[in-house]
Amino acid sequence: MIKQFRTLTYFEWLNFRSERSMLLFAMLILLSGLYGIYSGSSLINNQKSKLEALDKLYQENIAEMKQKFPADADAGDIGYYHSTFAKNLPDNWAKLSIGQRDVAPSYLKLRLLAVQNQLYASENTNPFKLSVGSFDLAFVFVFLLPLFIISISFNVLSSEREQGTLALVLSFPVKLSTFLLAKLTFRFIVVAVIVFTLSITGWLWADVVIDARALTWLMAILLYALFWFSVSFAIIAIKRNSAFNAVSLLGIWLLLVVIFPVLAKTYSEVKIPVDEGLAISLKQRQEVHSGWDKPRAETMKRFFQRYPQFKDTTSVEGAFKWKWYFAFQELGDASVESLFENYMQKLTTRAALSANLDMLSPAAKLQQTINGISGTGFQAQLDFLLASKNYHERLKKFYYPFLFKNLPFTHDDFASEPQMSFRSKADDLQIFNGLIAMMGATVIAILAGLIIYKSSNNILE
Amino acid sequence: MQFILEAAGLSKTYGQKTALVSLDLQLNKGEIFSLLGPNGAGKSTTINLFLGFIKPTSGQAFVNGIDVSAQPVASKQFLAYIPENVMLYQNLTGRENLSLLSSLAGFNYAKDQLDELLITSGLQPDAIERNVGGYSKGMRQKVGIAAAVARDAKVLLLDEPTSGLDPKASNEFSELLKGLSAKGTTIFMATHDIFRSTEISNRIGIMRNGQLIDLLDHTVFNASEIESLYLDYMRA
Amino acid sequence: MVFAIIIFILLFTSIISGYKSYSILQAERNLAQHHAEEDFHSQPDRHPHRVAHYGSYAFRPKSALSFLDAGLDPYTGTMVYLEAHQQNSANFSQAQQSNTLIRIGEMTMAFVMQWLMPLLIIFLCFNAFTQERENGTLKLLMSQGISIQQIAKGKIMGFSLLITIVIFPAFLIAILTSLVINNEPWNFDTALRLFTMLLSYAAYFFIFITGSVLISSLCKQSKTALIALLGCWIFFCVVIPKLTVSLGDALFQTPSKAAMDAAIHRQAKNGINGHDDQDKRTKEFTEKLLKKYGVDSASQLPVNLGGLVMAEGEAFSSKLYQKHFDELVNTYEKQNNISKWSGFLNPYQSIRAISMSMAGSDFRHYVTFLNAAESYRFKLAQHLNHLQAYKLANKAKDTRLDKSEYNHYPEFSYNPPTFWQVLFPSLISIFALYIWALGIYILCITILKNISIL
Repeated sequence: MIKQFRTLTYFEWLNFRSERSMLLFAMLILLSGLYGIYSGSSLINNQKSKLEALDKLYQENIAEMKQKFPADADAGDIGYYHSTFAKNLPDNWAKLSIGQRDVAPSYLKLRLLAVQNQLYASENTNPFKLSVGSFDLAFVFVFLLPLFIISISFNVLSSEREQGTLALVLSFPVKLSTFLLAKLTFRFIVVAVIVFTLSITGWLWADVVIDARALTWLMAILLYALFWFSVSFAIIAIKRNSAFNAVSLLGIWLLLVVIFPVLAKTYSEVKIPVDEGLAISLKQRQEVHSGWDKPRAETMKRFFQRYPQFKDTTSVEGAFKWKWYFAFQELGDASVESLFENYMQKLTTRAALSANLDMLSPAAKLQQTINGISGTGFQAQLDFLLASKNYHERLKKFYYPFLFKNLPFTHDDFASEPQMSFRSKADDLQIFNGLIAMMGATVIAILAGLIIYKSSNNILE
Repeated sequence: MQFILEAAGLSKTYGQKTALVSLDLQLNKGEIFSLLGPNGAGKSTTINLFLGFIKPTSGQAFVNGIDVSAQPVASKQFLAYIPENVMLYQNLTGRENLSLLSSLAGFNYAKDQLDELLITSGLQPDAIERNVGGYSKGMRQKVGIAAAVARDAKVLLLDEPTSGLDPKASNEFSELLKGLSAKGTTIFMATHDIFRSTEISNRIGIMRNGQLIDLLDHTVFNASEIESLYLDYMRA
Repeated sequence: MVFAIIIFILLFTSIISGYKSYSILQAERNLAQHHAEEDFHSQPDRHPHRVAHYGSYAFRPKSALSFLDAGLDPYTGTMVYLEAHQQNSANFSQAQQSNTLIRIGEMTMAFVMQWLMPLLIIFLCFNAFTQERENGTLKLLMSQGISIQQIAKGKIMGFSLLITIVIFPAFLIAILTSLVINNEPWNFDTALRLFTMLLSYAAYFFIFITGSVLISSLCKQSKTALIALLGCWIFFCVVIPKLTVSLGDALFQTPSKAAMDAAIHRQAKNGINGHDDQDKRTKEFTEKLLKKYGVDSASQLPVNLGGLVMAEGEAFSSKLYQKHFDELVNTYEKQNNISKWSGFLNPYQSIRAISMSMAGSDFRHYVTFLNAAESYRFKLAQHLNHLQAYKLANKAKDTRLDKSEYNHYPEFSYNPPTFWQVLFPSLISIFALYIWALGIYILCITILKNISIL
């Protein structure tokens, strides 16, 4: 049996080698993969160089500040005119799976002003490009690999029957299941070789740190490939003709890779509309600007409730004082704190809802897993948002003592301004959930395949 | 005694349609048996039942005493099957095809042995390394026979082996079968070719509508007698 | 029959879901715009420059037909904060607020029509000839004296009729739904847009029907025809669009928003040529003003100098911004043109462009909105600067202006481009689509004339 298995696999190789269409498909998937690696890398490299250029802008801004305020400055002037950047540095893994990195900004320009007016700024983007999506290696694996698997395995039995070779082979002491398993195993090996080749090329090209993530990456993709082989097996097991198999498998591909995720996304957006973002902007503006019209003492009193350490500061009455200005900026942020929490909560809930609905789509789950590995998922985007908000807190912690203790801000003080660069980590939870969902789907597909195989008609009947 | 090929009350129905009705048949070692009958008489069904390709509705098929339904793989150890149109892997050469088929039966031959098997089955030596895609029907059949010989089969099941062969190829084929029979191989063939079958068979069965209606010993009748008998049966 | 039902169900659900998300998003934006206006108009007495910083908002209204094709809408910002001195980005795009794992489209009619219909057509037509060939009926038909061309024409006609019958009720539903949407009154413009869409989709389907029949006639086996057609579909609808977009992105670089803002700031500060800095410009402007009013010092001016200087600065920086923004849009157009011109290679890209431009959800509509928002921002800022200049005494920094001076300022409204304005840039795509339809039909007929079918 094992010997037969080896023989069959070997002869599949001989067949594969000489069949031009199979080689063509394999070449196409390899080329798409290489292009995906190139295209994803160039997108992230582009982001990286834009992020690096921010340092120069930052230095220019400081130089301008030093020129504008040649002597010791009021920290309020610096807080108002000086800007710094919260940077979301991509890990090299992001080159292989861009995820949300093209829609979400990769940096935020921050001033000491109310942060809620600064957190949601967008980067210059071409919406047309975003709508089509990026051609990264993840796309090749999620979208095209199943098509490749389907195209090399949909007719493994039906074509043998249609050519007439099946009857001859089965007149030998070979079980149909051994024969089928050998054929599918051989194809799985071909797919595995392609996956390894593309992944290793991708890792080297993208210059990633090869650690446990590499193993998880391979596991996820091979599991996904196994899932599609199981689905193919389930359809082959019905033992109908090639055209039937092709149409059914493509229908399943369409359903699992395209329609389910699109429906899940649409449903979750309709089910949980998020308009808190707009509300935050409006309310925050109202609160900040009403600061000008309210009695200064009242504003300061409310501010001191949040920062009691500054309550002994000098009076803000009379001529314009920056500390009063920043106090009502602070209060503007405070007024939308609960809205902001709601907003984040809702975004998380909505993401969770669509992720749950995506259980039906192993394709979405693979994308989730490798976005998790690459740190480019939606959660990473939210993490960056929160990290930027924290960074703003650190800026306040740095500037407030200057402001409220009336300390002069010297040129040397720029050097000790807090800096921030965020680098998202692999999201273990997303990875784990994705893998579990794919495993579940694979087990279901295999079981379904076995049941169909057992109950369907004899192949030659 | 144990028969090499035996059908006991073997029946097959597809829904309303009966393909084979309670066939009882025993073949001895080295015997050549021909089954005659019009299209749809149940000849191919009989062969498919012996091969285990289809499951009998009732009754049993035995190969060398092994119940085909119970042990489909084991029973095939003794069988070789040559369909009407032997289809091989078009992208592989004749030798590669033979190598695949014989190793499926558990025989691993060296290159020279494979070539010898093909040549003794009548394949031109220059065709051995060509892709089967360019073979004629007769050439493919020869590879099929080589595969049967290579695996040392006790029984050869042939479905319409001489249809579409030119007279010369057909004659060579008959000689080959006689040679195999002399070495103790049992041959069961379904055919329309009355003359060829009377020439080489020990016994001839006539089938109609799934029933074996007569068993004739060819030593008793000559070809033209069998033909008139056959036609009488069909008219009845 | 099964196909017809599947298509109908898909179209129906997509229209419903498109309408559903349309109405939710539109309601959100209407409400927010309404709040923003109310807030603006209920400001207390303020210094005009405070009002300019308080600013206004532009929320992008969904176009009436965008429920049929959301186009780029999920990827465009929905809200622009309009304040003095700075041009903010359009924020809160749907894509930034959703966990979109598979980015292939929205569940709208356009998705079904552009993406799924070709596939269903392929499933319907792939064995148009191969099956007849496999069954031997083709020989029979030919022996009756019917030419292969006639058979092909008949099949193309038949399939086209079938698709028309299936699509028609869905389109009626779409029209009825668009009547229900009272955001924009249903008018001739909408009718023209729908009509253009219908004609374009008809050509698009015709291309796939004819192509499928052609491939089917060229292939010996149904299996081969199916694989070849599916290969074409994957290539056209999945791979090439992504390829052209990523190519455009690689060929034409755009600056980051931060870099662009910094460049604008630098040029505003130092003058465009670098020798004409802000202080010098202000000095010259003040001198000119003193001369004009025939006074010696700024304190003697009858107008508020600060307001006029600010208006001058706003005009200067806005012009700069507009220049940079136009350059950016220009680069995007260049990137997008690769996709537009590849419509001659790939009908999917043409139909996508036509459909979203007719639905009012394409790049041009978005840019029109952004420009309208910027122009409103500029006018509002200048209005307030002029209030400061002429209604406030000179040097008065803390004085407040009576709220009645600004609280009747008209709210932001946006006139989307008319049908004729969007038709012109779409002509290339429409042309490409019809070239394809005509070309593939002629190709089909010519090839079948010279082919030995058996």
